Amino acid sequence: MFSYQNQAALAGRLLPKKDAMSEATFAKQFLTALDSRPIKLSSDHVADPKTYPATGAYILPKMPTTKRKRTSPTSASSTSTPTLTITLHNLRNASQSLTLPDQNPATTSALDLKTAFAAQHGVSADKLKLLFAKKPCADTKTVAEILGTGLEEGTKGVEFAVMVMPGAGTGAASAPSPAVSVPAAAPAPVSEEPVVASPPLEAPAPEVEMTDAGEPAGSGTSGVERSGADVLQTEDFWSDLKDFLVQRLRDEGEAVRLAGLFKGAWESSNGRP
Amino acid sequence: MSKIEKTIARQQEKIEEGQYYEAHQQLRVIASRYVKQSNWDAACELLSSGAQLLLKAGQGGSGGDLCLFLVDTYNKAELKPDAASKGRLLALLRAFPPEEPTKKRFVTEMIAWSSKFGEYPAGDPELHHVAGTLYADEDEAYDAERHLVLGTRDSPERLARLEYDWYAEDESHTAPLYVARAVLPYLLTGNIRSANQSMLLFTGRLQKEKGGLGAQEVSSSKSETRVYPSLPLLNFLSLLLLAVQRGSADLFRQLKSHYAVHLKEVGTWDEPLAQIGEMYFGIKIPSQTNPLMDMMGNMLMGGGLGGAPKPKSKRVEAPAPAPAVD
Repeated sequence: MFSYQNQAALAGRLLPKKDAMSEATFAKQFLTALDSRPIKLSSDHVADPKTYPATGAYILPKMPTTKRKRTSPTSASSTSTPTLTITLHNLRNASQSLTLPDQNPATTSALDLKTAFAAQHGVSADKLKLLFAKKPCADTKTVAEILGTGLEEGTKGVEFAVMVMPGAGTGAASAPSPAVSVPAAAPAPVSEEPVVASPPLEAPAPEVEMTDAGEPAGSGTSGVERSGADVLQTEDFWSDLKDFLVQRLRDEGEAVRLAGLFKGAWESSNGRP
Repeated sequence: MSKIEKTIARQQEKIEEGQYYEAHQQLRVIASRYVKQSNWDAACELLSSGAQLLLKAGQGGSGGDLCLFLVDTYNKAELKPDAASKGRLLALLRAFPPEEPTKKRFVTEMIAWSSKFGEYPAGDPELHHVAGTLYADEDEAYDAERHLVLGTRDSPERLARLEYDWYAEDESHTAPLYVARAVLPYLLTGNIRSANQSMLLFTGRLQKEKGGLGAQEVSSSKSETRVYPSLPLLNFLSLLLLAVQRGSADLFRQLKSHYAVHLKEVGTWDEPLAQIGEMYFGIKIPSQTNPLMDMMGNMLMGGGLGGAPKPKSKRVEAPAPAPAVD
């Protein structure tokens, strides 16, 4: 019934003569024809998953050969997986840290780490953000998935950073801080960055974009940058911010004024006891 | 120590002593009592801790039973999927011993719960992604596909890797049959991004690991693709991925007719391609009853979701403001 495998090698010769043009020639013609039509959907179009019907996914019919099982299942054997000592540090409050020995990276999730940290320090887990290599970690990912290939043979311990968002219940974040009024003229992209819109945030990381999927927008570059708290100490950050405002507002005077306002607000919130 | 914590500690002792049956039964009885009192938090905490302990002790059967009890309790409590409720289920799912038969039912039930009480009628993408990843790790290819196709933006990477590993066990010229197992289902869910991503990852590895394929770069003024002279159906898929962006029915027909001989040999792509024709190119499928949708209706996950409703329009469209279509 399944004749494809036997005949595929002959496929080129099976073509009727009129279609026997080379693959490259056809592809070139087809691409040229495509060029004349407007693009209606982008190459990264995704239909809203909320509109998927409540039926199972369609998958292609079964293959003649089933996938072979590897002799040693990689993640399934929890006993043979080397465990890690995981250390969590609050970026802005060195006194808040937590060390968890003997964690199985294949089964410990980011949420587990947050929950453990939250329990230790009496804060609420949903006000915590977990960062690894400056990138936010999605709750459902395991430590093994977060580390990816970065985990070298023989690694004994890894460190994660924790950001405590305001309203977490205790720690430095609990002190009510004066609301800083951000002028309405503040450009929208900036106001999405926690650092500018709400200075009382614990550890803003301006180069990190928080998304539900946990995918930083510029994941390729953020790894080499310094962490949020450090970046804010550099003059570069503030001049970048000013440049952005100049570019966005096309009004140098207003941009300089706003940049000063943001920096002043950050300094005064930072100077709080 | 709270009452619940005390109960859990007592059962933990029993499990450590190897009295699995007794611990399982007692956990069930106590949890049922909490459920009767509508004390959902207590029931969920007890069940998830108890299941976790049993699973870690290698007791897949009794641990799995408590996992199912937990989802049942979620349903009774009408609990919504959030980080905590999903996290609890996923932690348990990861703790299952390999080849445990109740695991599959647990996955089905948790997806059904998330589709009933969450925002995603087809089930929560994060749950799909983790379940699919775990199936892929166990080389359960079809189950992995079924879930990764409905997963997150991380899913195509795992699916492409699975399909390539599978392909690596087969003859060299079968590559298109395997990559299509990711590309066509993603197109059928309207997910062009994941279809492209899995194609790119698969062909990238193909290029690296199979020398001598003699791929040629072909480009026009605006488009480019890579052509494999020995793998015509791989070229078909590459061109199809470009064509769905345009939605021009005549080009789709031209593409299908050029590769008609090869497509006929595969034999199993006709239905998905007819669907793709309808979704992206506005080519109506003639028959009144739609065999693919019927089949999908029969593959209902969980049950209790009713028959497949007649979709109003399956046409994939860009979000408004869209350029005029047709």
